[in-house]
Amino acid sequence: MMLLIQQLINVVELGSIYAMIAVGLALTYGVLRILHVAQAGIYAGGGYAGLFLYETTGSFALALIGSVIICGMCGMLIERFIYRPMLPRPRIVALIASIGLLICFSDLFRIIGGPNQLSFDIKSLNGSYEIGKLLISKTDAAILAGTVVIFAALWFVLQKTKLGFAVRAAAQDLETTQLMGIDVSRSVSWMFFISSAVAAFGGVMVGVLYNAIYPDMGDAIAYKGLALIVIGGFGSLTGTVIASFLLAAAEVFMTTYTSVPLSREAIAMLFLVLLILVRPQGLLGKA
Amino acid sequence: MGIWSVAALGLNVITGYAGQFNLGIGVYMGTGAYATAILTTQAGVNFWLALPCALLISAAMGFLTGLPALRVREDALAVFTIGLVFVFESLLIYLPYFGGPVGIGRIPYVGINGSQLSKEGYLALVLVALGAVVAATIYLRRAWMGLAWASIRENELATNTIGIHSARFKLYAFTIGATFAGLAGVLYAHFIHYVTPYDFGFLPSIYILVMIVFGGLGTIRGAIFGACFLTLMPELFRFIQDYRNLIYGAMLVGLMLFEPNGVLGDESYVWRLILSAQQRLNEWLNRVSKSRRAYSISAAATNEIRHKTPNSIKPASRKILETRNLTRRFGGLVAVNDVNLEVFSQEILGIIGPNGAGKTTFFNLLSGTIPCTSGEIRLNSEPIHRLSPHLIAQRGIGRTFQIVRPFSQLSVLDNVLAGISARYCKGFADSLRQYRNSSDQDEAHLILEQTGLLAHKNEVSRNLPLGLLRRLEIARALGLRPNLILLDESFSGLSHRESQSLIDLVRMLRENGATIMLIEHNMQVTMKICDRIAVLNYGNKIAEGMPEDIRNHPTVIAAYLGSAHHA
Amino acid sequence: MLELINLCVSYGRVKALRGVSLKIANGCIFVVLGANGAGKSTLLRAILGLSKATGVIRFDGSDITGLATFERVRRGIALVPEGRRLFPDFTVEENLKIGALNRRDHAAIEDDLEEIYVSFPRLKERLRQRAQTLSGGEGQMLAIARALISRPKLLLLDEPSVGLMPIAVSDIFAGISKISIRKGLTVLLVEQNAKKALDIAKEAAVLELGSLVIEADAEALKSDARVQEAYLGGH
Repeated sequence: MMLLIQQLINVVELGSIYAMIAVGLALTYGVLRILHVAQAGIYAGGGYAGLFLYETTGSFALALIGSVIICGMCGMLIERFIYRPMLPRPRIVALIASIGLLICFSDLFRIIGGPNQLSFDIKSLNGSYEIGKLLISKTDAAILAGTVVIFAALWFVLQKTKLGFAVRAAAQDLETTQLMGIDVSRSVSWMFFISSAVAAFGGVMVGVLYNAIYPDMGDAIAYKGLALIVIGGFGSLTGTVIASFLLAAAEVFMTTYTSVPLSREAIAMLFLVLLILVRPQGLLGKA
Repeated sequence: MGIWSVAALGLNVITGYAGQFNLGIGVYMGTGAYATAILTTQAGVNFWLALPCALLISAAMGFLTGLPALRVREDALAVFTIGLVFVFESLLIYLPYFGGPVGIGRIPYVGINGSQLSKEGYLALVLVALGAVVAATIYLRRAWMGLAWASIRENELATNTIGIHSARFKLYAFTIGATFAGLAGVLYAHFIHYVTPYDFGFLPSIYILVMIVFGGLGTIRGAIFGACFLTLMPELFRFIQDYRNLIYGAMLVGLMLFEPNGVLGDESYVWRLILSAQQRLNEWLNRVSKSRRAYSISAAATNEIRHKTPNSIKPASRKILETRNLTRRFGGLVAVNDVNLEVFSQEILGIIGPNGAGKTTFFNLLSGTIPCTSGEIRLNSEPIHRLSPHLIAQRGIGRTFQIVRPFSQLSVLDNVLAGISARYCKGFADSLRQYRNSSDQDEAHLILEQTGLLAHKNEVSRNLPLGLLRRLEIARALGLRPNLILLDESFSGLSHRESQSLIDLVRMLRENGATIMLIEHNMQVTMKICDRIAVLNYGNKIAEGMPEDIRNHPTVIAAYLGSAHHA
Repeated sequence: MLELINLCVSYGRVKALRGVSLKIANGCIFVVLGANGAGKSTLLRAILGLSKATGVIRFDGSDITGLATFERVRRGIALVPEGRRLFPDFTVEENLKIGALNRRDHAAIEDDLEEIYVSFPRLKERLRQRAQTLSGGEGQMLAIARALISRPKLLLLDEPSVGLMPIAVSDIFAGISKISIRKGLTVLLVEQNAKKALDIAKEAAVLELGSLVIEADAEALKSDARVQEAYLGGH
């Protein structure tokens, strides 16, 4: 029973981390039709920035906030200087550039931070809480809380703010959104800020959770993220979130309860391949 | 280096030529490599026997992965191939036959007649292989197959309407590209002498993609240049080794920003420099009198070709096309409603109606581009409404599009040849024939002459003005000698003079035996040229008859100009 | 209110607009007629900056030629695009709200909405329905309402009658006319359906192959044989 609860917690954590990355990807794709693979680089960057800030300031809160802001701005810069000039070109160009960026990022982290794993140990998060008969580690609790906050914030922005409204409109019809008097370029910039910030948050969370920050941490998740938006159905945010949790559940349960010798990436990709064969438009996508 | 060139050329076929973005070329290379590894090490098979086996297996792999790829959307294709390569890598690691993460080692040297091939010998072997692949690629590009691929890459929809079955050719591309990559894999295996799953995973696949994009997508020289440059670079600049990935990444980004066509791509700065240098060199060497063989068609050839076009059938008596209760719905909207129409041989029938009346949808139904919701279409009494567009095209319906869809990067001549190519695309062997052989060229030139495009035959179609582009679409549609030609707003945007010459062309086509249906908004043209006119409004046929009757028909006038009374 | 001076638009080699100049006075309903491909949509797109144009565009006294689309809209131009271009996944209500996104005066927005519901009662009934599910006529009403809610000074309409049943067309044109008179709204209407458009217009012009060929009072044009010729062929 305890094991099951712990597994469920793992699923939720893993699912939320996937969702954090995938939602950013889905948003970007929805509006710009670009597969923003480099998002994973920002995710890893978030982890590194968070670690660096924590070691310099000693405050986790500061590290988290600082990392989120820095990565958000990086995301905006990428959109402004790399993706925007590529909008009139075929989309494969942006995809290749994005892959190039990701490779750059990974290597940059390797050069700056060293090729080895760095540990991200928050002293204040050691130990656990006792709730009745349940033992939840402080880290898990923090992550769960953080996840709830982030998704609530994201939902709020998308559904209740002008920016969110503009972004949702732009995903349906970019030109007509302009006709509404909305400065679409500015909205897109902010959208990049937000999705990069969320990705960075995810990076910090993962670093703390597994107590490990390493240069390749983006790679694994980058292509899983792509798989997730395809599985969820291109452009469907809810579909992507559902897909994230489904995948997390599959990974956790498969690795614990079965002995299928596939790596976790492979599981994701296998789902992807199978799903496309059966239902090319994804779970909630439009035909 | 040679090995990577071979792999790059393989990807070039799939991505560069046919335009199918495959990010997982490692799958095919790995298949070839592992196939030969297993065959030579565990089954003890001789290299020269293992080679063809491995190639066959790679080809099969290309075919199998190509099938699902046909169903997938453009964006999803890239992701799908990424998924494939990850799954492939994992399978290699975890399935028992493949030696796990360590791979298979001690792959033997290649030998001829019992003695081992030296390093130089192996290099020779690789170069021979490279040469063979280059030759094959050039051959393919010059064959009808290559033309079909170019058409698919330019505009898949239009390709199907000229009778080319795009799905089949995409499969060919996958299979052939996979075979080349598999060859690369085999050569790799016997060069390094062991293979691991990581050699053929995602990152190596991306490296190969970078090679061809860097060098110039869709060109042979680009693929080879890219492969050589990128393999050589780390060797020459040892200190880069450490930063290899960083530079790769930065290069990709920079390249996409500034020169997305690749260093030696057709439009790139470098290539144009080279071309212009070459031109100046020619001039300097005083080759002023280049013997350009003026292309003249002999009278005999002309007669022969004219003979083959459909004979003039007694006009007005034979029904060539019939639609019965033809209906098309989009959700709640009825675009075409219960339309009954008869079209007679060699007549020019106009289809008019206000905006949104369903005219283009009607044409799309006739050409098979969209399926009908109910009703039937019969061409020469045979039902065609369930057929795919390429089959309908092969049965003799040609069409043009409201928004011109030429194969823009191809020359005018090539566009027309593409129109003819469907004749050869019925069989694999046929499609391998070189398309520059004389009898088809003659026919293409005749079509060009008829449509007044002969002077422009070598121009890249992208640069033509609209009037000529519309003629080009017609010329391309004539390739299969269609009995029925559908012209969708071909006169739109033309000047008075251009319209007049297009009218002459349409009349000439009819004299040569074709039946013509045209959608037009330009009433002067319509009244002038049509034998009969049918009028659509809100998806219904509201009138049909001779031009003068239609012009004065009260319902028609009301439909266009609106009436003071409600309908 | 609107002045166009020598407007030219080219798409690649095709000259869609050739030196179009015209003036539209405040509060006037101006109709531009023409066959398909004459350049009507291009004209509207050029005014809003969606298509690149050379020449000068003056709106409400100032030169807007260099401004971005959203800026021109914020100055008081609204477009009802060809084919409506509603946001399919948004409800009727959301489509209306997004039209008003730039306004801050919430109370006034509510008032305006009430007025709109008076002219187009069917919209109020369907507030929570997704825009995709509306019929052609309702969709057109929504598109117009969406444009009106931004309180524009100039309303551009691109072929609002396309794909609509004649009764719906009459309703819509009547609605446009009423609103223009009541609010003093300047309207530039581009249409194929000449008779009904000319009924509500004050001045009109005919575009042919990118050039303005006739420009006159709407009344005069109604009986002008040239218009009928232009549509149904003459010579």
